[in-house]
Amino acid sequence: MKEITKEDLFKVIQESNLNFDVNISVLDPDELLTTQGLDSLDMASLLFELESAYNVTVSDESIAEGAWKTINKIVATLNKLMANQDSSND
Amino acid sequence: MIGIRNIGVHIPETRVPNISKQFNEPLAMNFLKEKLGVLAVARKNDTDKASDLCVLAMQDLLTREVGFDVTAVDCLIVCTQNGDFHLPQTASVLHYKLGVPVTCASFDLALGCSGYVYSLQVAKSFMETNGLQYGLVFTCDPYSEIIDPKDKDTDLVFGDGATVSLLTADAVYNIEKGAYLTDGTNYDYLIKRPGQTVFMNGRGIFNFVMRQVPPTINRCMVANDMKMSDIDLFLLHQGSKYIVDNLVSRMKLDAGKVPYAILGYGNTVSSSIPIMLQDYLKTDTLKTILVCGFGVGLSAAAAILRRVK
Repeated sequence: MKEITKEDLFKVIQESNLNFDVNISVLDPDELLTTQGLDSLDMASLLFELESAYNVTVSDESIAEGAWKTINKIVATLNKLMANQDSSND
Repeated sequence: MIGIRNIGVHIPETRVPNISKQFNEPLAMNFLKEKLGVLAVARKNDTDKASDLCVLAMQDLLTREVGFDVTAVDCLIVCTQNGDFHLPQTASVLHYKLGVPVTCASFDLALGCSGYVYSLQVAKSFMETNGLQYGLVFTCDPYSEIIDPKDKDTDLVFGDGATVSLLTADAVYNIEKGAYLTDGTNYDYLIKRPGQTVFMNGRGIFNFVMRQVPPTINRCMVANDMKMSDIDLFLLHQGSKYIVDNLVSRMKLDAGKVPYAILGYGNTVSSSIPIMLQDYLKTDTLKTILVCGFGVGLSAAAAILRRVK
């Protein structure tokens, strides 16, 4: 399965119903999204959109562990979840 | 056919501004106004219980139905999950406070944000089956009694209030078919355990609403053989501005047909829909209204109201 990139993520966001006050594609990929203009409600709808786009489940535990806090962490977490899906389908 | 004739509303005068509250992170006015959509929450007096707020809603109803004879009431339902006591039912306490006849059927209905829609359906069915004439459907869920003022997720959102809907055959709006959904697998997304305050998984509830409310509304349309374009007004439960805005966006609704009303008093649970509905009872151009409540349970219910007067 092809790895998801930051650009893939930005494309999903652009094509979705999401309407943030900031342009996520220009944010620092290693800084917390919540310190760069996204609030808790934005994060909830971002995660919902990613669940729908990639058919994954975002667990409360993974949120607590910080797996979705930055752009790079989101990409890494999505790739991990997708890889787990692929191996369970084999 | 039994329908809605009139509605009484009580929202407590005390309003606590959200911007004045202190949490770990500072609150931004733009967030409170444009995203959350709640600038202040209504708070009842500490000594008032659900039945007291219901009495005040009834007083408001009686100013709109001058001369209405309370002794004619033969059905009294209280939709609440925060009644006066664990037992007896709050409907009995209210029965006493209102002085309705002993032959009046009185019971509680333990639902939250989907409760008004369910209550209308139950009341209509109960009254028509039993040939009853005048029903009072109360909603009152004072969450101020069970939330932690230090919990931002709940304290910024929930407000106190009560309503009463007078149901009779001489109605303004008939109650048509509904559609219902229950997701019990996530019952703990909004929960109050014994000895604790309310816990709310906001993200979980957001996901539930976005996934389950649109198909519930669609099933309601199918049940009533209607199209979305037939609806003049969508009265969606006022969970928060973010929830309502996202539903409007995802369902591609005409935003002009979807009011948002709770900026000044907060999410009043099962009272949120009838509080808005009271404002529209006299607007005779609104022939068809869709009402949809969703939340604790997790539960969703949608129904059509059709104007007959």
